[in-house]
Amino acid sequence: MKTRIFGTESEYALMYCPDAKQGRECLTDRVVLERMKELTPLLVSSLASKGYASAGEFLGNGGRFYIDRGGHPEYATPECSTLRDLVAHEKAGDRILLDLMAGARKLLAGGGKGGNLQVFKNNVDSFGTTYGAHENYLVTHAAMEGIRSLIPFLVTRQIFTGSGKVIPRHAAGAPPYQLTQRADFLDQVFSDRTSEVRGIINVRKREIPREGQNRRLHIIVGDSNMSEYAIWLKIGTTSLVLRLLEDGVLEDMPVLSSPVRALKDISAGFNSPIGLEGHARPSTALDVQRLFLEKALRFCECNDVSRDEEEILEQWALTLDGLEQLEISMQTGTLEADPCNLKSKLDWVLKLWLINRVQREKGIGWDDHRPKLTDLFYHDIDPESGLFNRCRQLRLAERILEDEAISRAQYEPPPDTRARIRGTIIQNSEGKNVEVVVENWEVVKIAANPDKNRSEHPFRRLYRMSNRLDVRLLDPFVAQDASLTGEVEAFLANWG
Amino acid sequence: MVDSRFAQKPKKKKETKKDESLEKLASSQVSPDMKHKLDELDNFIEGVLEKAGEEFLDEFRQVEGE
Repeated sequence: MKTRIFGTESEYALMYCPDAKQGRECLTDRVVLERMKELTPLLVSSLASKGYASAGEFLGNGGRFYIDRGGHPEYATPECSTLRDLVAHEKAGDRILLDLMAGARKLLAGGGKGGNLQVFKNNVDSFGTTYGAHENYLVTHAAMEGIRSLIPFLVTRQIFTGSGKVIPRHAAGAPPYQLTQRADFLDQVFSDRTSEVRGIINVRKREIPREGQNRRLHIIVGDSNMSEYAIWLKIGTTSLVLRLLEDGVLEDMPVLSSPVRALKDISAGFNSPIGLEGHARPSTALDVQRLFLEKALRFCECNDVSRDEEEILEQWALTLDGLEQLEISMQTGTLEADPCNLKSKLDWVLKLWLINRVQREKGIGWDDHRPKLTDLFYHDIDPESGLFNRCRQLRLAERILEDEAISRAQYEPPPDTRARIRGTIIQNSEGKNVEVVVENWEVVKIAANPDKNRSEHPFRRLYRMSNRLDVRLLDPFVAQDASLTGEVEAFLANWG
Repeated sequence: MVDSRFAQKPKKKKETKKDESLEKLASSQVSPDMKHKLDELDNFIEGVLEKAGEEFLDEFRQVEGE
């Protein structure tokens, strides 16, 4: 597939202390959920006051904002077909959350409630509870059948996609820092569940695939990335490797003896030996990544490649070179040399560098609370208190986009996928005498309201059923459809 | 408790030596602009960590997501 649709889903951690210094409760799941029950409606009701068009859980930019399991606000990007759009829309999610948080604070203050409200884009709390960061890729039916060939790539890509994690209460002599937030919580290669038991690839079927048509690949092994570069490289390399898979050139790639074990070992030790089936000598994650890169380079020499893919190939190679030259002691958690300045690109390297600075400055080790706090506040999405965002402002973190692209993505859908039609309908229906129900990513229903000020109209249900337009967006690549647009415009004009 | 943690640091003599040499090398290489940025960053981090305090970690509890 030369052009692919992809999207990401980020679960955020909401932190609310009603009053930081008073009446500290024992934080059980019940207490946390009750707080979330109080807070999350304030976030949702802030959408309108912050100028975001919405219809149920879907937004005018084509994405989706909702409250997921565990009271986590979740933002799913709209379907994107370019890497820059994807990065812009994922980062737009952070900005939307930031706006909603400001709205919620105002509502809390209006109700005479104070306290501290913060949002973090990470994947684990202080007690070892996890929440996800998922990726979706449109892949061919044939590629889905051979999806096992992707596993070695997914297991080893964490050397550039990980967000880094301070290991709480690490055992004496054990590494205090690891590459990823999520590796510890993955138990299987494939699973149809996303909580309690998790697979690298989630195989839960949310929709019935139409015969012969493309399928949705749902990857849940990744971390939430703060770095634009890391998001770009993660999605870009994965999409490119999927193209190799679709073209049947991954058949001779190595197979990991124990993928889940390898996932955890690599996370704990950058150069950890990993077993490959049929190989007496163990390899490293870097070795496996180099094999995939070589394959991709050879493939791209004799196939048409997009500008996105060219850039990804170049940066993938530079990143692996940089990782090769990285001097790091996982045992002591020390970044000793970073000659290629990967800390400006990769989250786990930048976070470790920041922690090491704090440690040097304060003369503290890993048992102190400050490395853990640095880890957490790295993911605070508020520029006033978030460490990654501060690095970005100081130009210590490489950008992929201009700020304007992110601001635009907060309100506008990508121009070249079905998200454009969905987003436009939601935007154009604002203030009209209609109700838009986005049933799922494929179906939008627009129903006329008999009288928007009176919900008790005697024939309301009948009225709505007979004055309704169903819009089906079955092809994710279709961003405009003149006859459909005409129908929607006529319907809205009629009921405006 | 905090004092004892501070006291642990000098025991790691080998690491400290390496860190110091790297730090000297790094500080001799940084431009005035970069030094200014790093100072600003260090101050920012210190402010954030101080404001949050150790108890923030005890309060950062979530319910399992997906």
